[in-house]
Amino acid sequence: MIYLDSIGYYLPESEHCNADKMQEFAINEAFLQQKIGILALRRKHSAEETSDLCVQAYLDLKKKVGFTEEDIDCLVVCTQNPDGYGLPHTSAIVHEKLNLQSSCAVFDISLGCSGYVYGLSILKGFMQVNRLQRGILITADPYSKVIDEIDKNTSLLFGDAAAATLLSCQPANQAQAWDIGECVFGSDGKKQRAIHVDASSRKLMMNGRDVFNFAATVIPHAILDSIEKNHLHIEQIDRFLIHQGSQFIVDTIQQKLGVSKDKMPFCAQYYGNTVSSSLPMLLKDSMLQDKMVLICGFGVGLSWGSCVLRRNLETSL
Amino acid sequence: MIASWTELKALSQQIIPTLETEALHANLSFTEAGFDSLDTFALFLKVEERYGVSIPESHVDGIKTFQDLMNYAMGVL
Repeated sequence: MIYLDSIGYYLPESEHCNADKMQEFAINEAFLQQKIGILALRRKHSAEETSDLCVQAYLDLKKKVGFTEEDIDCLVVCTQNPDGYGLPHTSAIVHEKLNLQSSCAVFDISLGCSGYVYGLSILKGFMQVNRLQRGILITADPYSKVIDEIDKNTSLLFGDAAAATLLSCQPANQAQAWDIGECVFGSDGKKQRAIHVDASSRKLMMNGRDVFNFAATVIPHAILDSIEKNHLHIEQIDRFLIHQGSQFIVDTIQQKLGVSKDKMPFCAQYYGNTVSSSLPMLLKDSMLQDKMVLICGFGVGLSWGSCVLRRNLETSL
Repeated sequence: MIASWTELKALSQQIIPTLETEALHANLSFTEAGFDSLDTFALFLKVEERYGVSIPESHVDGIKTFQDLMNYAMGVL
């Protein structure tokens, strides 16, 4: 059996305060706090590459779990803002920087905000098929590479971060490890241009209304499908950890599902929407007493992925 | 389906629960009624779902008041 064992993360030091942009974007404090919900963002240093963010998240994970490079059988990087032009794949650059062993398989996957759920499923399946013991999923999608700082639609939302998630057959702490349940996935290619990088300006473009409509109509059904696929009822879920697109999007989905705010938290006030790192950033802080957590990522594509994570807190090795 | 002013006020109050619907009139713009851009997206979606219409991006800029929205829902615009 393969478990989600532990999560390491990295937030760049540089902090951008969104209140400084209120006048420029003609928004008030209520809109910033209650609708966007993001007060500060982290931005990587211009000299920092995506692979550097990956390495920092990996080192944080290593500090928490205490493995060596020889223990790692595979490593996957989920990004759409890779090092350079994406060739070679960023995971190969991370392989070099971490001096991983030559038998360690590495590859990238190209997904945005749904990438964590896809990544967990891909890595778990890859490990099962090839009988691997330990694999790491790194999410690192520094949108600062493509953000237009004068675009109100995007520059107040997206922050840089990276997370490294260890999947293991023998977790360090069995009681705290998560069993990855069945997932649901989907895409609406007709809306693929709702979030895209413009070919000429190389800047991120987002149609806020399309993204809102998608989140408000498709995602509640995806969450319910995920619960049903795992043979559960909504009342059995201790926490709903959903992509932190904005306070307004999380609130809208929370109201549509009729769950309490504390069951579907918004926690990105001080680091922003970190794309595929959004879910592991939440999960690392998940309540110690939670036994059943639903995760749901959605965005670029437009795509979505959702699954239920369970753990048996009474279990001890 | 015919969009009624009473129903549109009720949908608006679902978006902003503190909205004083007695003071609202159909020719007010969304901004004048205290709706920000995200509230307006949410109201458009409520209307789309309630009346089975689709408001394409190309028509959004032309819908500035509650009356415009009702007209759109009834196929007038």
